[in-house]
Amino acid sequence: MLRYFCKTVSAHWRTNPVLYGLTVLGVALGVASVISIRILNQSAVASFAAGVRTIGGAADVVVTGKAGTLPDAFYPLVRGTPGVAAAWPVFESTVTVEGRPGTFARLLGVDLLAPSPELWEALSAFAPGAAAVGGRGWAAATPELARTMGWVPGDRFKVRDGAGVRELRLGALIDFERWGASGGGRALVMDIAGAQSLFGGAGTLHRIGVTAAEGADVPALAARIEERLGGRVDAVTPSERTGQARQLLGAFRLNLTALSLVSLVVGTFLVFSSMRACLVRQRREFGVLRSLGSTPAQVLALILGEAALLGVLGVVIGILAGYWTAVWNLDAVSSTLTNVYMLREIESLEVSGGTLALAVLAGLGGALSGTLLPALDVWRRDTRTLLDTLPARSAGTAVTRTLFRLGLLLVAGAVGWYWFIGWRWRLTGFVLSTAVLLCLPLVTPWLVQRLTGRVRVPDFGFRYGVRSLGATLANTSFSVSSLAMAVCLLVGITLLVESFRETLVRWVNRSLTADVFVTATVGARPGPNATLSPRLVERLAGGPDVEDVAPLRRLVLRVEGRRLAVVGVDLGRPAARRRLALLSSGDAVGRAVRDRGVLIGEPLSRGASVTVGDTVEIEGPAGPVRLPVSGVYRDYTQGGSVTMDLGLMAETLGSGSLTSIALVLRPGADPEAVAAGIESRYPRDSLRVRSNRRLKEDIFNVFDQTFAVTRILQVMSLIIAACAITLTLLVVAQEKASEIALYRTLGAFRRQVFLLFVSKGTAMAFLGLTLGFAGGIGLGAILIFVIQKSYFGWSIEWTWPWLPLAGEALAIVCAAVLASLYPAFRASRTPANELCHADA
Amino acid sequence: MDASALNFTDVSKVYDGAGSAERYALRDVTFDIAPGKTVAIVGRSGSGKSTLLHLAAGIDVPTRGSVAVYGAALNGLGETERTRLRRRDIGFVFQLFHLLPHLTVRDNVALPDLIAGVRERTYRERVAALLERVGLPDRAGDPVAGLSGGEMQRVAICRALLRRPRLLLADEPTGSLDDASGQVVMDLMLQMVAEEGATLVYATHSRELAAMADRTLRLHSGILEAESDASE
Ligand SMILES: Nc1ncnc2c1ncn2[C@@H]1O[C@H](COP(=O)(O)OP(=O)(O)OP(=O)(O)O)[C@@H](O)[C@H]1O
Ligand SMILES: [Mg+2]
Repeated sequence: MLRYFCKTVSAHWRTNPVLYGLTVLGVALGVASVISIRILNQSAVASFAAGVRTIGGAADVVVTGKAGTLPDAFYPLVRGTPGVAAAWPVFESTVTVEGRPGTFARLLGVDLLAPSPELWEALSAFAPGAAAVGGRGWAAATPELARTMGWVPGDRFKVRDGAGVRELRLGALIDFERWGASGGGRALVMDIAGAQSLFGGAGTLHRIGVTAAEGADVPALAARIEERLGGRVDAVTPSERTGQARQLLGAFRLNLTALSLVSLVVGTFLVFSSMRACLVRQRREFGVLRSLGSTPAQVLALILGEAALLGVLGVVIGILAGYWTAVWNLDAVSSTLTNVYMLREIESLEVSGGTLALAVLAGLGGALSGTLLPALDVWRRDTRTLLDTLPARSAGTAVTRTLFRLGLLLVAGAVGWYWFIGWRWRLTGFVLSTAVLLCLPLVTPWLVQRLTGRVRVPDFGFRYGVRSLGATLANTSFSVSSLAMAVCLLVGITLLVESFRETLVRWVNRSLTADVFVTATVGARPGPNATLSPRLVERLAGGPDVEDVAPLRRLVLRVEGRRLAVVGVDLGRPAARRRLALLSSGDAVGRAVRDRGVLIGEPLSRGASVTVGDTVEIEGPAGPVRLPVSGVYRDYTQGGSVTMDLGLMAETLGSGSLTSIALVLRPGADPEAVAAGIESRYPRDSLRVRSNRRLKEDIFNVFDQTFAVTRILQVMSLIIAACAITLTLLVVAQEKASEIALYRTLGAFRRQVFLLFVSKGTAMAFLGLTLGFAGGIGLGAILIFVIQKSYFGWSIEWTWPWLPLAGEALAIVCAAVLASLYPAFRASRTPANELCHADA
Repeated sequence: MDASALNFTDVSKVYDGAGSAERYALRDVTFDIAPGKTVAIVGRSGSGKSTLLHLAAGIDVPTRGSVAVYGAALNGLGETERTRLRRRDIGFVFQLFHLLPHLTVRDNVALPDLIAGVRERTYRERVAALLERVGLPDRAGDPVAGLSGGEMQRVAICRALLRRPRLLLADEPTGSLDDASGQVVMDLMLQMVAEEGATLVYATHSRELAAMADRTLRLHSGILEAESDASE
């Protein structure tokens, strides 16, 4: 049997290399799509987690202040908490390097005088004859930063932060890996005292890293630290911080997750149908083997053996191809991370064992399950029918109707469940979407049967092709339903993205009315420490073209247990009222002023279940404050926000400088010119000045980048469309070779057979599109009205993006026609005497 | 009227055997069949009967020699012209019927006209008349799967005769039937060919069936051995 196995495999390869190659390609493509998306997804999270760890070192608990900073005085309290083995204070800032705009570095101040063997281990290339380690102006740089800047130890260089320019001296290089703080990127390390005095933060820390004593309960220790400091700090474990990272990346990851879902569907489909395609061809061969006395078990072993061989080959190629696809798309994903979420770039691709296992599972699982149907067919059927040339395979309408009803029942059940119980649950939307997606393959066979059965056949053309689809129901349903699933996801996500964008356009037009926006930054990025000095505000307000200014103060605080932006504005100004798209009725802004209340964004309202009449707890720098909620407004920022009057903010959360102001210009003034004027007068690194138009552009750039990954989705559904149709038609051309030969004998030209196959491909595309659109509209509704609301708390208005949808449909039909060309060519070359050979 | 319905002149068909050896399916076959005649081709299995019929139908091409159907030499024709000729002049009946399971009896019979792009109202009556003739008028709307072997072959004969071919080729038309229904089918085919005025060439293993023809061609290992003319 083994000899026979080797012989058949090589014979198949020689006689039909295209189909065999396609099979391996199909498996590889499926595995590659699964693997590439997963690698990108995991790398994004890993990059975030690495960023978190860099700051904490190898800490068990990281202590941060509720208002962004901590006073020095907390340090002994933390260190003295029972269960703490060691604690180290960290001062952190972001600086730009002078003479090289756009190069910024993370500046860490740590206690260089504390005994830390790892730290000394990590330092190298000390500058000769330099000032004492940790002396004033001494800094160690990561090799990456030194290389970028071309520094050698001993060099002097200048850095700038919000407060001004400082001179430092490169004393050594530092290897973060050895230090036990993963990652690093571009960073500078100084002694904490020097950093504090140079960068204007005497007596302030940004975090305290803590290692727990051996055997200590880490979460309990974190709770103890918070308690000891009277709730003025957050003590979290690194895994909690990674969890926060995941949350922040929510929308982005939801996209990637949707993509992995699609890729898994595509992958398994491709593998499945590739294997089917390969096996169908050998049906008669199995019949012969059976008739010669092979047991069904032997034939089954033969089939599974060949499937496994192809599967393994495909998996190996697929893993390599998937890795390269990930590398290829890395830039796009990475720039989204840095630009939108202000995170570090992805520095290394994570290929975990889980990813590889998933790839192997999808590849081999798909291959073997794709083998199962034909194998069972061979198992079940008697030898004679296997040898039949024109097998009458009429799938009973009873079976397909049952499947159809099952599909409808599934959706009805899911909707009913949602209506009565499910809506309370956060993941409910995913259950609904899965129901919609699974419904499609269930309803397809019956619909194909009904629709193609009704077609009248006046000639041997398009309609004959459509009609004959019903004769290869299993194959047809298969490609139609996988196409429908892909289209469904595509349409659903297009509906979501375009509706979201349209909603955002309306919201932005309404809330951004000032002409020029000025925001304080540190190292070109807004941050908790970046503020506008009162003198600057005064000067900006007194500009020649400025009619009015709207001040804004932004703090990142914990509200109802969530970290989000608390924004102070002058609620007395009419512009401030207009800015907020209120969802609650009545004069909410007036109420807020009167009752000393706050207005909250929709995501917070939904997420924490608070609304008008309730109160929210804001954990201010001086302890928690409870304030009444006067209104709820539309809010499309991640996690949401809270808006309150500036006066109330100063009273309850402490006074402080503004973080940005909006300028309303005199009629006729040119916002671009004013913005450019301000920009040229002040250093670029400490202010971000944008005209109304520029700010809107930036907002939509962020939006488009967040959803840029959906373009992969579009490409993928095209690939599915093309692959599904090519493979199905190739199988049909093989399976129905006798039928084609019959047509040729009865006088059909090659061109007629060619057109017949192109018709079949086009008809399958149309069926898939119709079903997919129906499902996609349902999925879109779920995404917009269920998932976005429960996940992000965003209200999105439904819009019909006709143009993008039409474009996608057209692209799929074109792909289908193109994909049917090769099988159609193959079919048209079927020799007319094929039928008679089968006779002999 | 042409002098010849089917003419083979020095026709050889060679297949590549193992290695570079040549295997002759037909070797220097020459014969001429007059219009309106019925001719049986007999010979052992593998003697080249099917090959001969395929060459006559233009679905295969000879390695050497020339084949002409009603004076039209197939050799010079391209794929498309041969198909056109087949459409116009040739009908084919197979041992295994080859009816399409997803079409009704009526649609199976109408298939050649459908392929040729003939309008339905043009062939509707012809289809009905043929089914009437073979005794299956009430099965027109049925799927073919329910028919017996003999009934299937009668439907296949209707399909082959639909476009009034001048030459009907049949490759062991009764090979899959029992003797009784084989006889019925053969009788029917001969009668109908006579009614239509067509020429019939059929391959068979059966001595009795061969005896029903005007003339018998005997093949032995691809060589035309002897001729016997029943009318002589
Ligand atoms: N495609 C082919 N390739 C190689 N040899 C072939 C091919 N087709 C037919 N032959 C050979 O040509 C010879 C004649 O075959 P043919 O099918 O014409 O015989 P036949 O008389 O119809 O036999 P049967 O009565 O069994 O149907 C046989 O030896 C066969 O093996
Ligand atoms: Mg034969």
